[in-house]
Amino acid sequence: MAIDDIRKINVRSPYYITVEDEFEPDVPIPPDPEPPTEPVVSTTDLACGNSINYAAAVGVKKIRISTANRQYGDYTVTFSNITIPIKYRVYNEGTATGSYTTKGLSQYADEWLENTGEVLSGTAGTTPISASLTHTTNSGNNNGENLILEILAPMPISGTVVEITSCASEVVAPPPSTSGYVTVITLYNTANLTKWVSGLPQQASGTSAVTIKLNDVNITLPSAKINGGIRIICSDVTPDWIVDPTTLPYIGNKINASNLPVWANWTYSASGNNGQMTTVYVNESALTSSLNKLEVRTQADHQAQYKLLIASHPTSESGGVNKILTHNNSETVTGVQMTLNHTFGTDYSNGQLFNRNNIYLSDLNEALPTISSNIFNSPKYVSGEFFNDPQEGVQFNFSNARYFGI
Amino acid sequence: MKALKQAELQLWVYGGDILNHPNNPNYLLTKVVPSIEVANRLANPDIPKSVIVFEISELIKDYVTIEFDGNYNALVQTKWVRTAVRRTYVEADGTETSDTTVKYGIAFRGYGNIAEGINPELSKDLMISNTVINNKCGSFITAPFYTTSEDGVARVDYFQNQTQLDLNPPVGNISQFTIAQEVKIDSAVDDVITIDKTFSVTTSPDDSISTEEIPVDANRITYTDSSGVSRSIDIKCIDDCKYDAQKVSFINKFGVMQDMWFFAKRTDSMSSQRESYRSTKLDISNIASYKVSNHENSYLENQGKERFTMNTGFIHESYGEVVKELLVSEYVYMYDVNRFSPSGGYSNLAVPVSIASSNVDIKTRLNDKLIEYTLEFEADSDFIQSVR
Repeated sequence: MAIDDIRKINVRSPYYITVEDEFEPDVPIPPDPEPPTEPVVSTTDLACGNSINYAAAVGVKKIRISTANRQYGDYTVTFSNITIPIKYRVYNEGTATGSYTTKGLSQYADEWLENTGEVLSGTAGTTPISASLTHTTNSGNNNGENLILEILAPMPISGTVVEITSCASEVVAPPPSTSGYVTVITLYNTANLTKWVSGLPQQASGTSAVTIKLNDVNITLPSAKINGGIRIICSDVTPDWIVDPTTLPYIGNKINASNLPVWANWTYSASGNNGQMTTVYVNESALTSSLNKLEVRTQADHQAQYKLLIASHPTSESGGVNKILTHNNSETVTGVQMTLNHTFGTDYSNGQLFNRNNIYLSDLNEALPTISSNIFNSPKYVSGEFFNDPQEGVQFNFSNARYFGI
Repeated sequence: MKALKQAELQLWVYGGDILNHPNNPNYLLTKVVPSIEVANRLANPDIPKSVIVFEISELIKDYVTIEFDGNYNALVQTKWVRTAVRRTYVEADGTETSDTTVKYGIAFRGYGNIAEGINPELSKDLMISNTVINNKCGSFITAPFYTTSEDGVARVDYFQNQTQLDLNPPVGNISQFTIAQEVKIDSAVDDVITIDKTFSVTTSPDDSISTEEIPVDANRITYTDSSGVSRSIDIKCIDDCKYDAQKVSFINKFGVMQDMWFFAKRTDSMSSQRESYRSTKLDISNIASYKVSNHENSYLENQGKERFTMNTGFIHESYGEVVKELLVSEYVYMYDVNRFSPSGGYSNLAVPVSIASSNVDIKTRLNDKLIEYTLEFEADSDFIQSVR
């Protein structure tokens, strides 16, 4: 039963229901009804891991599952809280083929027969049931088309949840040997990391309050001091990257105090008030060709300012393998950058309070890596209490303007 | 030839899943057409047909109670209504046939005025009467929308002047019949403005979930109904540096919770009501004397009542309609800033009050230049617990 007309009833005013005598003694012969037309069924896009709760639905429902940027593999759909029977199938978009699977409670067998003319072999009892459907794409049955999950609900369903529980693996980022580029993500302090103590900032001794994750893999910030930072090389350590010493010396400390770390030496040791710059390697197989999540989080009882640079460096061969990484070549190396201000803090020490940027990167190990979004979350003070929003955060400013000569 | 003989109305009022109404109706009403009228109709088809009318608002209202403790996520302000009307027809030979019509509604504690006609449905988009939202700078703001898949609001966009900041269409698993209740703006973090929206779950006006949007510097909300018509409402924040602004929430004309800020002066007062008798302090247990330290005046009752007088400060002219609705509201709340609502949500505890003002002059810019109102409220409960 589809409820297509719900009236608003304002009960402080009188509300009348008028019952009319609608019997017509001389009913004219009605004209032939219009031939039935195929109803237009809209298709809802549903991302992997997301779900739809069909709280009140009937008829045909179509869900598009994107296969973009994914390898061939398994796509699993999970149905839960099924009571009233439904039918479903999966096919390539544009080719509505394949047989339906039917799931539901057998107590609805009579109504199912009445609505569909089919005998239902449902599950006995009144407890809602679950079901899953796995569809495998390969070069023989999928040419890159998206998948359509078609759900047929001849009887009104209520509370059935459809979730895309897993999808084929995403396409990994290209190796430098293929693309000719390796992306290097540099994150460093533009101010000393400080901790709020009794309302006053004090220099932090360690970086345990800072969490850096690339695709949920932890990376340690080596220093709490200004100019201390990390260069994340988006390729395996095995080529043992050699930094092309075209212009600058790449061993030892910064050239001088006026050089910002991203334009200065590749690595350097701690010196005086400055922290050290170190490197870490992340294999390209742990990175996707589409979106990669870089999380930078600082506990709210600390205050930090970071600079982030994402740059792709041309590579060249040495000894038969790509292992030369060009640095400071103003002709070819470009990057994008942003400043992260983690300064919305409180001295109330609570691990659940934090400043956080979730930065989504794409086109890693390509010539022009880009930032797709920058979601910022920080504590708010409302009604006498600090709290972080339960949601991930809000879109924050970012730019993909290119910087040269880095 | 058939004639209407009687009509039977089954009436359900319930919360939760709209499709899961209780087995038994809350009311069963039957009205019978007078037998002489039925006989005349059967004898002469040309005479006017019979009509039966049920008036059901009072019956529904018994079940539409407002549950609010300050947390909008836990706000209950509507109920589903299901009516099944069974008409029974009779033929001249006494044969009876019947048909049944089922309809659904969503009940609010709203009301229309006489100009809005019979069975007023009122706004099906933004459910407030003011055309500008005045809120305290940096505080939450609520804006109730009526959102359904058939009619009502289908999309909400946020703007800073002409620049679209973000959009928040009620789609996905939020659909069909919902009441979007809450839009919050929080500029506690520098100039970043936070806007939250809370929708009721598809089939249950009792439950709610929330999503979040944070456009930067939004000063206008544009909402689009299912037919594509867009309207806008401006947000103008007011920051009175002298007084602490007081928020009052009340059930407005549309039957949904609306906030109104009183930005200017607040004064609190208290009155007491006493009933006493004179008791003796004579002591004749030994020789006659007075117990000079005993009270001669004994109380049957000495009860108090708190009153609050608040001024809105200068607000938009369209708040005149809001003041009218506040005067006749059945549910009015102030907030205890020192306590949280028991259901959570980082909301202050809502404290019920009654509107004590009975006469208010509605002001206009033409006559009064600047618009401000002073209203008096009275605590809902006695100062000393009196409910036994």
